Amino acid sequence: MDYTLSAFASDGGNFGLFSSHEMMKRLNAKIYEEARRLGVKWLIGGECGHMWRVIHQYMDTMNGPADFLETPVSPVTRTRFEHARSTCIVHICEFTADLIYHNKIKLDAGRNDRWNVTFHDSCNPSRAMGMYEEPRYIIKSVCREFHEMPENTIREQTFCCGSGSGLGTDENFEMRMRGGLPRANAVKHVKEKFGVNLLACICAIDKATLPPLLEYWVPGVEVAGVHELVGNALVVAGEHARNTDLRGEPLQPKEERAHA
Amino acid sequence: MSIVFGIIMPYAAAGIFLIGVVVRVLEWMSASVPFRIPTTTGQQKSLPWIKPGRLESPYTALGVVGRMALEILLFRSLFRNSRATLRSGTKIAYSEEKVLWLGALAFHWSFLIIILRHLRYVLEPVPRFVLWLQTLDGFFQVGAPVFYVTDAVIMAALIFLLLRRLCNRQVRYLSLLTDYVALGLLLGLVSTGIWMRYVATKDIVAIKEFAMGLAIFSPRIPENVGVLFYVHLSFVSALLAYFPFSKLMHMAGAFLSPARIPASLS
Repeated sequence: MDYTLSAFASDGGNFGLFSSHEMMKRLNAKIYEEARRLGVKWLIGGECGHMWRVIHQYMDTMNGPADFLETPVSPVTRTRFEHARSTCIVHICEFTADLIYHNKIKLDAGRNDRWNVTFHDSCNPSRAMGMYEEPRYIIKSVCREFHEMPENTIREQTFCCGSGSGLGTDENFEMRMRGGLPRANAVKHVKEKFGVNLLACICAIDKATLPPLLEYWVPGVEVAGVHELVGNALVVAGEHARNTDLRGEPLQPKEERAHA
Repeated sequence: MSIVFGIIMPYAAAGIFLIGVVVRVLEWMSASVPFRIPTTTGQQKSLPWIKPGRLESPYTALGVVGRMALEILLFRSLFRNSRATLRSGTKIAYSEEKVLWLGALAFHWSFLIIILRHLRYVLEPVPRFVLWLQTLDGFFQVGAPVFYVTDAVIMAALIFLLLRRLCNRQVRYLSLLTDYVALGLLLGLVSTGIWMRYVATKDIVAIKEFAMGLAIFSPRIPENVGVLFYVHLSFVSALLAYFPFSKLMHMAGAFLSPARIPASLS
């Protein structure tokens, strides 16, 4: 697989969505602009919530169709991402889930044993895209302890993080703590019931604003992106012995894990 | 006086209703919808081994028709209501809340059946399905004239919808005058109708003559139809005239919702 990262269009996050459609269109245009310059075949987008609303619902009209790109085909599994044929952008969760499903990457779920995970459906990937199964499939493959929050607080019935739409600054702290209470309350429930200590999500705003929320309402639960867990579990051919996870925290050696 | 209330008012109201609804629908239809912005409540169609939500996140025209039918015929979005309550101090619990859905369903379906039943006043011979509806509605064969189930259901549903606005603190806070106007008009309409049928029974033949006259544009003022009939007719007219300017336009708007009509294809 031959890939590149761009410094010009390094961020899909698009705060134009919250200010004006002209600004949204201009910021979004950078992605195809750079794809054209680099001559790539198709694109992968990362774990960002409102970026996906822009790509999924607005990009095709604003700057598409991407007729200079090809319908994405995973070079590893030959899977054709037919649903992305118009925008030619694949969500990294779709890409990774496809890799895991076809056994193309080696994973050691034990490296995430310090985490007892639950998953927060961020509003944009869930209600605008309908991405519910892909992140869950990944988490279940890279972690050994995964517990859903109560049924009417997840998926299409998910709760507000209280901090999206550009409200994520500390000036709005009190409002954020109030707005995020339902979410924090559901996390508290699984913390008490299953000992959950990590809230995974696929949204950059959530990763920035949920830690203070949980510190306030549910101390002891941390926040991580789904691909941080993938990174921890990923076994690379010829790798050095891993002593720490991606946060620099020590990993339990394999033998001790077996005894535990 | 009877010319004003019996002829001018119904025609004016029907005119306002027809023109108003058409204008508003045309307005909505000519608004550009450049973006595909469906709200999804189910799994998207992505990888072949993940089961997509065919109705919840439709990606085919048939799926969209299914989603719209569920919404328009069964009010699926109201079915999803949930209620948050505080339990044992600080614990928030969420439970399903189906009462509003049930009330809305009861009201709308009864109203539809009652309107269809009223076709017997303007059509001769009365179509078979209207007679059939009438028989079904009067299934219990209680009393004379036969008691219609929908009359009781619509009354109960309207009273429930009104009480909900008055008794539930949060809903009362959100309610505006317009919310009560629509309910008030409907309650007036329904109660005069029920009163006429069961209590102060009127000369049905005269009413039918009058209604058919209106329908074929050669109105004649009937005798002995009574004041109550005019009150009933006034409520109908008021409702029709008010309709295009009010939230009742959701009847047409439901079909034009940009968050429901597009398929999730992008």
